[in-house]
Amino acid sequence: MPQKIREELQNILKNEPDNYSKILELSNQLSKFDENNVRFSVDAGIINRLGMELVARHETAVSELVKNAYDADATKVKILFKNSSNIGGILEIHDNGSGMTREQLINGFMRLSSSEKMHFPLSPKYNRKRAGKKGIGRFSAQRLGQKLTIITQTIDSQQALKITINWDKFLGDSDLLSITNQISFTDKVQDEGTILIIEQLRDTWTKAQIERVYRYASEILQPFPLSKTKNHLKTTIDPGFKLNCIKIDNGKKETIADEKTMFFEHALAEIDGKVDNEGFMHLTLKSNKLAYREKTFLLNPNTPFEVLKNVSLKAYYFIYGTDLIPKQIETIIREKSKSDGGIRLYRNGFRVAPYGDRGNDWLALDASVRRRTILPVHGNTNFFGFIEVHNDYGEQFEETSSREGLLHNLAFDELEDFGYKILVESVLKIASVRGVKQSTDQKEWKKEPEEIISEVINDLKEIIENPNQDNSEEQQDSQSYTKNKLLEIAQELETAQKEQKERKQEFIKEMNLLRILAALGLTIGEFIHEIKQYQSALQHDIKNIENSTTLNNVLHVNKRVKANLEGLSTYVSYFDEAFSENVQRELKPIELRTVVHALQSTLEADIAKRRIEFIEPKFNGYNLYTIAMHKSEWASILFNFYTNSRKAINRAKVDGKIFIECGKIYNTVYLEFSDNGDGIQLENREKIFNAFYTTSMPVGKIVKTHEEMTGTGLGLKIVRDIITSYGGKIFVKEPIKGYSTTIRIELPWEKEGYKI
Amino acid sequence: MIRYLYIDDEKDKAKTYIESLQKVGELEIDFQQAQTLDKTFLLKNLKDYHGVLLDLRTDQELDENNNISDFTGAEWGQHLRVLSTNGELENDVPIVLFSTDAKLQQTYFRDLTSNNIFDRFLSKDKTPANAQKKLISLANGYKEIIKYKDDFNSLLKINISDLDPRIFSRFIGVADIPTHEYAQMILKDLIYAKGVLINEDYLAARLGIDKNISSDWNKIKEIFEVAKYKGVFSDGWDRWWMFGIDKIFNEISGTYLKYLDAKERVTILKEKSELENLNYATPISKNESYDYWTVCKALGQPLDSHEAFKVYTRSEPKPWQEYEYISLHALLEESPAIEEKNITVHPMDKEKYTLKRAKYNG
Repeated sequence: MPQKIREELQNILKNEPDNYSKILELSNQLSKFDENNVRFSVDAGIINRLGMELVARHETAVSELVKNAYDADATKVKILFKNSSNIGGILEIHDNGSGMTREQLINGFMRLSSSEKMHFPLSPKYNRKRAGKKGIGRFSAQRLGQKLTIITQTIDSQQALKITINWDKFLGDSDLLSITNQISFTDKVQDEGTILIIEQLRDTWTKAQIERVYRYASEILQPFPLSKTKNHLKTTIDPGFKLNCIKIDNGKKETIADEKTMFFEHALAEIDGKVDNEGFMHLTLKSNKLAYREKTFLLNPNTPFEVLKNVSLKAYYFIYGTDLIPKQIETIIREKSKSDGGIRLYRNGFRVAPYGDRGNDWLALDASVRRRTILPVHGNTNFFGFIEVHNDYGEQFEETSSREGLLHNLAFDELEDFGYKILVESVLKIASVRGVKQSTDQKEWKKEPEEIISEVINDLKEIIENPNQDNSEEQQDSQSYTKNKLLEIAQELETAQKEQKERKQEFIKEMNLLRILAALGLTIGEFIHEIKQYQSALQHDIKNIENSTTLNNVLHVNKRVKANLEGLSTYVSYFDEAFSENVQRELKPIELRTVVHALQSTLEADIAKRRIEFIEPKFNGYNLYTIAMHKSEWASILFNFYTNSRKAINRAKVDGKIFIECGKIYNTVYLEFSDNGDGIQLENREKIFNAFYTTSMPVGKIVKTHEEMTGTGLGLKIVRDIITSYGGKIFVKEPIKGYSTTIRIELPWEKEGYKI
Repeated sequence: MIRYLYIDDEKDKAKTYIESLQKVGELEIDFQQAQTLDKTFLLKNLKDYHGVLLDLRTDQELDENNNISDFTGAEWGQHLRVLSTNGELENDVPIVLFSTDAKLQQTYFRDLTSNNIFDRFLSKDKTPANAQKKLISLANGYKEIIKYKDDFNSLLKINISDLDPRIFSRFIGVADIPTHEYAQMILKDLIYAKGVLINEDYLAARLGIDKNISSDWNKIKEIFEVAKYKGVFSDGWDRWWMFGIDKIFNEISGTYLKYLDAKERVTILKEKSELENLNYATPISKNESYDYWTVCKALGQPLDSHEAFKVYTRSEPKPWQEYEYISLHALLEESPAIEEKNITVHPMDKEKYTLKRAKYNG
């Protein structure tokens, strides 16, 4: 057997020396007959396995390829999604990085588990910290589509290299080494860089997914203009990195995600500043978000800069945590702002370090925030922007000898002043448009919930009227657009809802207080009625004393005076208590015994006088605590019941009986108030709790206020409002034995009422 | 004849109050409007009085000349105390706070700094029937103290070596302590507090007797007459020396009240006194113990403190004083006295209380 292979191999080496595949295959077969050594072999299926397992999501796969471009010192990456709304489309990734030589291709890309990135953690040209994960790139490409074409060229190469890999060839049961991929030379299409063309895409690509690619790659993106690079100098200043995601469907091109759509469109304001060649400072400000149309201001009409001329500033202003930016995008921008926020400086197109680097506060923005003289946010993280100095070759600025920034001369001082003034002026103007407080004595501004809701309604209408935002969008993409939009709307509605809840709470608080006062007012009405009766009795008795001729008579009358006064003072103290409790306005669980005891002692005198019997109340069980309430509310409730009963007893012309029974069932405490008056007819049992239902006689034309009040029929309505506001129930039940009316209140039981 | 000076900013009702408090031949009250009160007046006139009644908020009303007093009763009181301590005033007199309940609650019970200016407070709305007796007693007490100052044996009519020496520590070795300090100590540390001295309800509880159903109660009191407090202010307050009660009972029985329950105490008392109409008290509902030692503050009935809850007081009892207690029954039944007397469970017993109370949730 081995002999046959050897012969065949010899034959091939002799007759077809370029048939590497056959040579490899035969040597491989031959090696298996080595009796003293064994070797690992690799099944071609490993490629598919690794691709699928290492790269789960196709968005991640693309962003990994973008990161590879970054690692290759590219400054621009363009991704084209061609007819990718359905499976089988084409994805192209164009970068202007360093490209690959044949050796780099073979020993790097084509060698599994190559370790170049481990050996060289920084990129050669711009010293970038490599972002791509080790060896994920090729599998990402495999993950994305069935076929990969790489066209790559370096600055020094004459031609471009082109390699095509058909991933479907990597089937199981064949040897990895035996599968060949064609490599050829072709004409250069650019100075340097790599193009990946991935065909027969395995996934569909919606707009949202493409945006996600951009977001996943955002850590390496810099929302600043690309800086020129000085080719003759070995500069380490990174000019920046840009990513454009473009969708092409049936020849129609649409930018889905780039700096503009992912960053700048979300800025609260766009700030343009410039110093003209006479030293005047102009600010141009606009805000789409606030519907603030572009306006230009001259900021130093009387004091032009002495030496500073021909500089411009462009900045985007962001504020966070205000729902002005969609949440997902805000997260990215916010993160980005921590490392890259601030104002950079470019001179003649070249970036000047360290201005705008992380931690550099050359315009003293962070310092200004700390001073808190200007309240609207304006730290470095609130801006992405740059100042450009044009056509300056040493007239205004000079580089320091160490090339670490510019010399601090008058022009530079004025430059700092310019930057700070433009930004702060913009921030203040925007704040006043937003209505945000600019100084501590201004009130906090908030959008009315109604306002938010009506905006949302408009947004919704828009979606309904234009179901396809862009006609070129395929259905799936437009679906995801709508989904995103709806998500935003939901967020806004949430905010409005929250706001509304807060306001409702305030209203409820106010309502509760008003209700308590109403109940008290009602009680006062009843009280005055009672007190008046004592008053007139006392007046008469005083006269009786004056007219008395014997001491005995005086003492006799005095007894009555004493009794009436006692009656009067119990009312007053009940009243007093209700009010002073109300002053505290503190809710606490109330044991039903306490309110019944209080009523009992108040009514003692009145009841004795009226031939009404207050049957000893019955309490079933202990700890009959209601949910936290106002004690004065109970005064109103019980007094209301009592006056109603008294009227009913009067109408019935009987010896009155009043009985209160309390207890608890499960998680409810109840109080039943019964009397033997004229009863409530079945059809009226519901009505008595309605406003203006009254059993009193219609009030006459000339009535005292208190009479009007007691007869209004508002009493039980207020009582019901009190009870229901605590989640309780009040109803007329079948009268208990021996009585004609029983009203029952049920309230939530406060299990641990005694703890307070 | 005892004479009090009544100071208030409200003139109209003063006459009514004065007439209702005066007692012909025993207690006379003069009125002085706060708006025109000054030091000169006090220096000149106070020597004619044995006591002062002070309204709490003397700084609220205008008088007929539209004057308003800048000072409250507490400030006048403090002023008086300083004048007598410095010797500018010849005499030192009891100062009784005379105010409405609402104002007491609002000011006096909230700001405790003025509490030791006054010897007692008297409610304008609910003036008790024994108010005159107390006013007279206070005035007489001050006179006694001035006479026997430094001699507690004479003031308390007892050999004070029988008592906890800490009670008197403030007075030992310090010269010229003003009269009102003596008075306040005797009133607040001994008479008003429970401990060394006890009142009639406590006496009954400790003897185990229900005095409401024991017609021989007064005769029993006679047996313990020797232990009756006879010192200053005893004409205003009925009190017994607890150590004296213990001593007498031990002489009768050879044992101590603490060792016995109410049934045993009453059996011994009946046997030794040959009095028939004595009945032991039954425990308050939900209680079982007959080992009464204290009295429920809300219900006034005897109580074993082990079954009861400590009552919170504005200041903690001193070592020779005792806590007051309230029964579980009074708490569960929400006795109206709880609110009237403003009773709350002592924080120390809160947990025990909530645990006990939780058992009644079923």
